[in-house]
Amino acid sequence: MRPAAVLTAVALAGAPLLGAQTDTRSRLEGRVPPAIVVVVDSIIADATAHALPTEALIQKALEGGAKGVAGDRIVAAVQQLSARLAAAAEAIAGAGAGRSAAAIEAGAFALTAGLQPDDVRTLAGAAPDAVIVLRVAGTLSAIGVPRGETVALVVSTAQREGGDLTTLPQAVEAAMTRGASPAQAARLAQGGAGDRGAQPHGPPPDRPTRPKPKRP
Amino acid sequence: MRQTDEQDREGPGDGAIVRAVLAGEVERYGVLVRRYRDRYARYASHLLGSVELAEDALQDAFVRAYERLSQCRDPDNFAGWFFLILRNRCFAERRRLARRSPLLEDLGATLPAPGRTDAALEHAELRRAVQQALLALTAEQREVFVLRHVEQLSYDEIAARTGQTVGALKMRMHRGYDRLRVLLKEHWR
Amino acid sequence: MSDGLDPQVKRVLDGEAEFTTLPPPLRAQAAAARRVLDAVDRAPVQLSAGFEARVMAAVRDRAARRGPVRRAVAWLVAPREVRLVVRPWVTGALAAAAAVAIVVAWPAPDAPLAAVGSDSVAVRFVLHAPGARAVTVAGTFNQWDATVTPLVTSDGDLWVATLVLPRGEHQYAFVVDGAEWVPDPAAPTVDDGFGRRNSVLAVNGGRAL
Repeated sequence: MRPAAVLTAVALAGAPLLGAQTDTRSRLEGRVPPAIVVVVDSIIADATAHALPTEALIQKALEGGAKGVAGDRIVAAVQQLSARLAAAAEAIAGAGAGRSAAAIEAGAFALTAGLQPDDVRTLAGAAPDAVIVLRVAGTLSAIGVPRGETVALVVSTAQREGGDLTTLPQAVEAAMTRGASPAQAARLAQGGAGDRGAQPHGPPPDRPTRPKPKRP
Repeated sequence: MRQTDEQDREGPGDGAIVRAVLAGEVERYGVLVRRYRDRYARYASHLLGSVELAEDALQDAFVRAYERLSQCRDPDNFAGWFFLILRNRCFAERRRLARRSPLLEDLGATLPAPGRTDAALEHAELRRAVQQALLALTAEQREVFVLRHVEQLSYDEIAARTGQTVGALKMRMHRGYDRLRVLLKEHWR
Repeated sequence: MSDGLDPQVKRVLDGEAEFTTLPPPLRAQAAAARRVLDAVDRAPVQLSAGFEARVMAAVRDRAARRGPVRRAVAWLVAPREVRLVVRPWVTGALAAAAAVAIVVAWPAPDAPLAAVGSDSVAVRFVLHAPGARAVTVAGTFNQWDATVTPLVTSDGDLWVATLVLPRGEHQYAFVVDGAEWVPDPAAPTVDDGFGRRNSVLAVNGGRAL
């Protein structure tokens, strides 16, 4: 196409929106109450001004709208998440780790999953790639592994030669299905035993029997 | 095909979405589908003569566009690129239909004359007759007619979208006018 | 051709000349033509309700269908099933609510023309929900839209959908019969900030954690 024709075609297709602010509002409009759009937009503008990633904030607002949550609760949740992003950013910076958007988001995820800013700082400093460390730690915490065991397991694996962080959640869950508590399972995994051999304490609770689901 | 206000406000530009999909966010392709499904539905259904055929063509075109997304040279102009994919699909379908029923383009030869003189009924009959007559144009004539008089694009805009020259488009359109006059003889007064 | 329109009339129809510039003998011809043009159906066309879902199902199928890619980590060569079983200490009440989800993850290929990036994972969501009329999944990967990602069932009990998820931390929940938000009972969960729980799935380096 000739350049002039391309310009015409682009104009017809609609010029891209200018500015992140319009972006946020247009994504939220029709999904959350109008009064809430304004408030959330300002929270997001604030986060942007502090160089924090904002996609998770928009997602949280969309989630609240989808779930039919009251406007003030949506605002509270977005504010809480914004605070977590800020805390994660500070913790990561405090560890001397790279303050990438992905790392901050992973840090906020870890905080949401139950870890504390001190944990995030410790974890971020444990390995060159803070993102994977924080994602795995957040997942372990979401599984139910207590803070102390989560940090110990992840840090020791990250610093061990040949340690594979990505296998930790499954190793922990495998031990849990055999009756270990989350904390026990994490300690087993840290021992490098993973699902090899070690016995949980106490009698295993009753496990519901269930037929294997049919493969579709 | 005019950009509606709603579409104007609808989020990140096409370029950002295309790049996100290419980076692995497959689900975001749904934004492009939602954005353009209605815009091109009318064009496709006029070209093909039915909404059902239009849906099939649109669905194929969206899937094909996804498969070839990395070949979209100007992601900010996804719409124009997608339009060409859809257009090719519609023309291919027209050729397939014409092979199946070769008399399709002679359909207009026996259009019924208007009957009742009641004004509203007359208008409805005229509308039906015009739609049938459009189906009897060649695919190229019908396309330029639809883009000009249904989608209300200028000749320059049509040229930009389809890659044809304005002169060629006008020639086709004028032949289309003449053919319509023949087909709609009974209604032409 | 005697049946042809006068070129001046055609220019008027094209919008390139005014009707009033036509000599009177041609105005009748132009008016008749204008009447026909005005009868053209310009109504917007409504596509069927499931259109977008059908398109996205086909798109996901394309995304997931490509063959496995060789990677340095040996165990990732073939599709791998990760069975997440309901934890034994979960009470009977929850277990009654619909239970096992199996996540099947395999690495996404990096074929040059594929829209799936090398850090994406194809994930199959499975929910055992007998008696449900419709099940969808909503989450950060589809803007929490509870209408666009349906699961499908062949026996009315097991509902399945395969999605391709890019790297990042994803939160999601199933939506049963358009109204009931159900976290995946067998996946890790976090507080959603609204008094409920979301399921989480972190994707890192082409793998689900």
